[in-house]
Amino acid sequence: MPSIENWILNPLDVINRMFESRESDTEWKQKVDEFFARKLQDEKLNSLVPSMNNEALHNLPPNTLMKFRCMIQDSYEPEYFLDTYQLVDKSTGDKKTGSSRYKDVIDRPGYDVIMESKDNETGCRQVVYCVAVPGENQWVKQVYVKPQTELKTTKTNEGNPIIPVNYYEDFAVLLAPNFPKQSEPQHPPPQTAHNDYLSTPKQPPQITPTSYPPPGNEQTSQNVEKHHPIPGEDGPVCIVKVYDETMELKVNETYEFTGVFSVDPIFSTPFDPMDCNGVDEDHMMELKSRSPPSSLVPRLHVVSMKPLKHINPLLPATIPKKISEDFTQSARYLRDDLIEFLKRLTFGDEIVAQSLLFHLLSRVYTRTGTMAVGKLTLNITGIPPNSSYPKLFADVIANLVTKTHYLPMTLDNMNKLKFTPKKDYQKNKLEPGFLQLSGGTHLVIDETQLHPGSLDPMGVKNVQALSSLMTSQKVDYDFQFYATPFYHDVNCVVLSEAKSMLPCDLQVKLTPDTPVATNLEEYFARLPPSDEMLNKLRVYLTLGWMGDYDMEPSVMKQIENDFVASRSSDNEKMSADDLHRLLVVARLQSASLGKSKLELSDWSVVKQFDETRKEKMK
Amino acid sequence: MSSPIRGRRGRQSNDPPSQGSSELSMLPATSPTQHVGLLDATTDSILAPQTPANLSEIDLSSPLFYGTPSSVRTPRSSGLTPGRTGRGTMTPVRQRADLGSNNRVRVVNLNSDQNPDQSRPEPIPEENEDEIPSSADPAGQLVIWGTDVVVSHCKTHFTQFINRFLPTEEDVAMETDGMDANEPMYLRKLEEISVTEEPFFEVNCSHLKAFDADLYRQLICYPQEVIPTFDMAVNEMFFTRYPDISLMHQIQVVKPFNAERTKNMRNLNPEDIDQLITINGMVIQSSSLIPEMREGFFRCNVCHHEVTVEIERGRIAEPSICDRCKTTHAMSLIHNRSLFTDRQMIKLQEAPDDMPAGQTPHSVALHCYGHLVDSVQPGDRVVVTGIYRAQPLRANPRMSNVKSVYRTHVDVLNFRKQDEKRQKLYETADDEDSQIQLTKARVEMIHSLSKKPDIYDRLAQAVAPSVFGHDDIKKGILLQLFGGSRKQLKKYSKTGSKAGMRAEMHVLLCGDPGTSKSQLLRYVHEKLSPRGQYTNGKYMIFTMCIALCRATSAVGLTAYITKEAETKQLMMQPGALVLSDNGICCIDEFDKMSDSTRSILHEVMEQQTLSIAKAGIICQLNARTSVMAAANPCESQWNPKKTIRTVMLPHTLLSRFDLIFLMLDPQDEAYDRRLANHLVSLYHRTQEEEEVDVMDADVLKDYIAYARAFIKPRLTEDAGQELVQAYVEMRKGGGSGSKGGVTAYPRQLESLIRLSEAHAKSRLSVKVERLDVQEALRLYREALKQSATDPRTGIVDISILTTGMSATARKRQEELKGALKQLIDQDKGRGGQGTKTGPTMRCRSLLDRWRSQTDQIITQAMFDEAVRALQDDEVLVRTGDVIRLC
Repeated sequence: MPSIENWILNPLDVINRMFESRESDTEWKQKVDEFFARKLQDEKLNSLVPSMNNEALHNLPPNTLMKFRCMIQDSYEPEYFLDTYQLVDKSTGDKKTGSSRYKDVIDRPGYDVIMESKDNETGCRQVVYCVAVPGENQWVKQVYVKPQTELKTTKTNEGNPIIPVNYYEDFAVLLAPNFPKQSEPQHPPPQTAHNDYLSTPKQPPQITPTSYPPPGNEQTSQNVEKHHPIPGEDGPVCIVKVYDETMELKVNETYEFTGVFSVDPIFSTPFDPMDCNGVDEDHMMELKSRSPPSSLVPRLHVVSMKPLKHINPLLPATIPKKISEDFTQSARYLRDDLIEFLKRLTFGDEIVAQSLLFHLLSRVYTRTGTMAVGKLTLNITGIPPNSSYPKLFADVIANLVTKTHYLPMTLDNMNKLKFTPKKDYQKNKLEPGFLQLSGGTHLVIDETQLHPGSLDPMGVKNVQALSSLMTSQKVDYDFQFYATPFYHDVNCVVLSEAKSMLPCDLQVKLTPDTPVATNLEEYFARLPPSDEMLNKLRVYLTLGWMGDYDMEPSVMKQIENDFVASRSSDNEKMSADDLHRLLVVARLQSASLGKSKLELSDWSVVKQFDETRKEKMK
Repeated sequence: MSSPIRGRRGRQSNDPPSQGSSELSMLPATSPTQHVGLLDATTDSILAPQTPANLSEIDLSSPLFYGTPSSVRTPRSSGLTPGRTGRGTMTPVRQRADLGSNNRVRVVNLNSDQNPDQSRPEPIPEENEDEIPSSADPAGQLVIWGTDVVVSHCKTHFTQFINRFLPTEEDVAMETDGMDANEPMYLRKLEEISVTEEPFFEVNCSHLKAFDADLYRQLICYPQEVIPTFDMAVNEMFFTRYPDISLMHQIQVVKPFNAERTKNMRNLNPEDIDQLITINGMVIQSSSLIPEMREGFFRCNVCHHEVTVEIERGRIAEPSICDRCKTTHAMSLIHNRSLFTDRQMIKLQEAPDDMPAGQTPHSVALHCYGHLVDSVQPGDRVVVTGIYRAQPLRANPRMSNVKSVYRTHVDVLNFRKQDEKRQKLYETADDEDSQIQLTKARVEMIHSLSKKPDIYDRLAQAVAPSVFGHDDIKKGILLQLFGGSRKQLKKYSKTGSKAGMRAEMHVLLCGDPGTSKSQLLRYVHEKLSPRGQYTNGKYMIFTMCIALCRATSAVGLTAYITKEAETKQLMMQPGALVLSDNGICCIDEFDKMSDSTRSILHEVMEQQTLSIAKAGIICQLNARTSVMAAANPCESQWNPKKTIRTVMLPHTLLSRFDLIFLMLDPQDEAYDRRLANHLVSLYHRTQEEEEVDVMDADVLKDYIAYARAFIKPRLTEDAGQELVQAYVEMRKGGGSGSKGGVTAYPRQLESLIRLSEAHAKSRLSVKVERLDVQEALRLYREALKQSATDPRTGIVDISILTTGMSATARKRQEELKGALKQLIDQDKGRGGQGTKTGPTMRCRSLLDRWRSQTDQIITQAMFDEAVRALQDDEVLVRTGDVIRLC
């Protein structure tokens, strides 16, 4: 299909054609936007666009259309560029007009650019620095790379009574293109690039046992340059240029950008001394850090973008109505499946399994005053120290949800890691901190690793940052002259021996019903269910997590009555905190059943649940 | 206007010298006569290829000709001053560097048909300065090329503006030293210049706009051209009026400020390029001073012919051929005869308040020249007026491709510091009256609010609306936010320096865990503190959880020394107490503080200073901070008998708190219901209806800031009497058989005064009246009643408080107490052979006996508790292992 190849392999040609045949200065820009929007709307065509996430940088041909699934790490000042400019032919003196929209450089051999021309127009584009979504789990990457295998596994399971048959098939069709990849001969098949992933799927590289690579080590120094929030993580990074000035690009949000991929070698040479005329050293630093070699940090000129509410590859970016309706019906069965599975993880402890389910589904859905409403930080106590359980636990969670990170809370980590992002004014860059995570990331904190010892000032700051994140989902970024709060939505679960030192909303004690396997590794290796089941659970968790929520006035009334009644009775009265917790859990209970409205039955279930939980804590 | 193109030399000689030279001196870049001939040749050859026929706006404005040297010019250079030309004074000409102006003002005659045409190689009449007077012919059709500015009109209009503009009411109100509303204010400024000899003339653009909108528009759109014209006008006027004054240099700077294009940095866009803009932000970085060559001095090695070449597009073009001897490549640069100008690059970052949530701040580069260099420091909040520039990244001649990107910066014309008295961490001046930035409308609103009879309640309600009830506590916090008035008792100061009574109030909240103490603290910290912390010295509130800091002693609270890893430099990091100087320091989990930290607080809370001796650095820092602390009872539950002693804090520290509140759950169904409703509605998505009548946190913040800055209430006679009476009452009540209760000391009187003052502030009254004292007393009693003993009875009234202890637990404790009492009574009856002080017994034997008598299990802890309870009832006194009955 030549036309498809054309707009993917040579988007600049398409853009140029539109520019040449333009009627007015604004009209052609719109036409470009519309053209790509139309093409990319079609999921099949969209899936033909190669993704930067999937392939090694050096395999990507420049000036082609490319997708990038990423989180905005830092936003730069807007950049002014020559939108249209006059050219003069060196030999004939003929003049013509060109445009540098969607380009980094003006490359017109044989022509001279008239920088001073009156007809030159200055445009303005937003520039953001993006990194691959921090904490993105391996299975997510795999499915994005290889949608076809997913298609097969799901297809073989037609006739599953729980999930309506077409449920998965719809996605499968959407996700798996029938166009063979061979239509783009330059691209090596993605499998080759990711053989290593496939061979060791259960060992995500970012989860290192107890400590992060020490600073100064080679890996980190590269990492610093790439500004990944999580130390040791490696993924594509990119400077993204957005032409739509009205778009509000927020730091820490996830987007999928589609645009013209540019790795012009002009950026790989050290900074052009001609540009630095009259620039002192401080500013040199800044200019250097702002234009890193494009071989490490390519540029992407965006023609189309969409904010990603979730990054679950098993679901389309915007959830069609049909899927959410299907979900409402099948949720309660899936819930049972998931509880069953989680119970194996908790050695049969149902309360912990339930709490975990609630935790996995929780998100901040509104903020009032200083409160982040809807979050449920969980503290699982009763974990023996020096056990490999927390790590294995984190791996299981990582296999269920899209973004996780496992933090061994060793003294060393607390003292040495940088938790909060900090502005480096020398480089004019926001240095990422460990807590710069996008919404919906799950943080598994292993407090069993913490031993008595002293925290240095950095450690104290880190603990404070962590507890501020857990109480109000807010991290104060260090801008040196002042701190600015950034709001987050990071689900934290703390595994500890006794009550955690970090403030948690819900505390449960793990009391195994079934005997704990002596060889945990072996036990956990057998734990994961079939791929098909896993995928169902993954979809379930994402949909449940995203669900809307409301309360009927009658239910509200009932809850108020319950509260007042419990307060007038003498023993075990409910405190305001209890009510807060119960209300959050109630929402999650109804969300876990695929409902968007709280029903009275859920309320009673939740009260029962909390009673049992408290009983267990004693 | 016969020959505009080659006018430079010709005009010079033809014009009447006085007029011509005075004009000459005004203009930005004078091309003095010395090198005219040479320059003509060179400029033509240099310029011709570089200035194509049609100059874009960018070109006209490209900030490449950076003014003249700031250092005093050598006489050789165009030191033609007004004085020299007949006025007898020596005011050297100094060109303004900040405009980055072109040397040549390009003027186009509208009458002629030589409109710029793209095809013509050099159609633009190049005018030198001295051309301009000639353009001021009656018709006045000469406009500066690319603009609609007619130089002569522009000048006359501006002269009119200076002559006629009368200050507005607002200006009169703002100005302190009796400005006359009927006197043209800018004429007055000229007069000021003649006195102060500071040759800077500031123009408020809003005035100009009100006076002549068209001129204002021209100024905004073509600052580069218009400002020199203004300069000319001002200088002419000045030297006409004050011919004998010699200034350091001519009044070079018409410093505009307050341009309407006041922009949020975020809104800057390409349309603003080359326009006059005003933006505000915070200086985050300033470069070292860069001497920039402004004029190169070349001498021929062969014939010693000398040439000066002015900077052109940021470069000095070295003459390749000597004009006289025609030797090629013989010209060499003589550094010490070249002229330099000071330049500094500054990074301005968006003010934290302008920043939309969830985005990182933008920054913009500023270039400033001459006297503006080093006038601001990192951390300053400034309003900058200047010209926005875009500069193309230079094309690399070696490559065929060009980066299509511009660099932008602002050429600064004027800085205004937003907060003149920047928060100085280590030498805080008494900045009680430093200005705060509130708009007029806002101030009016605040005043109208203060007229409302229920303003006090309204304000209190606005404190942490999400926390329910606790109205008195909120009132206490409110009064703390307002603070008292600072008093200097110079007469009685023995130590000299810092004597006086503190104005800061300290509030302690204690109570059972989970009674929203922390929420209150957090609210005060997050919602009532400005977003920036260093930024506004007025009002910094920090929160911190000391429980977490314990491992590292007082780090974080006081100041600490750190060693910068890269530079090995020792840095002092101010802690929360220092940072919250003049603010409020919120301290959670106050009871879990280490002893050393506590001792620091002793000093801070009464002396309001902080001494630090660490890593060889000893210093005393101001820490005039109000402490707002929250503490949990040590037994994790409130013990009504022990009252405030339940909190394990030394009495000395406790007495430093003005108000100690006990936060308990009110046992009240209506309250419960409201609470439940409130909480549930938080989780319900439509919750707008909730917050109707509650004042916005921003209003509250401004109100408090305003009151703190401007209202300094004084006690009236009446109020004084009331206070004295109340104090005497309290002394009477508390003096008698108190036990651990807080009685009235002079300190309490001070507290009362502060509270009354704060209450007066809440209604923006400068007088403390009787009603203020009454409210202060009421609140004080309320706090006492809740936390300590009632000063009248000496005993806390349990029935009005809920204890937080469950009824069963309390009952059990009563039983134990009863049993022990019985046991002791038995003992007393048996062995009554008493000394006079009453019988004594040993604890251990008593416990053993008790254990033997009952089948209950009596632990040591239970026994201790019972003994303590009896001790509270004054049945016995325990010292160590010995119990003495009373």
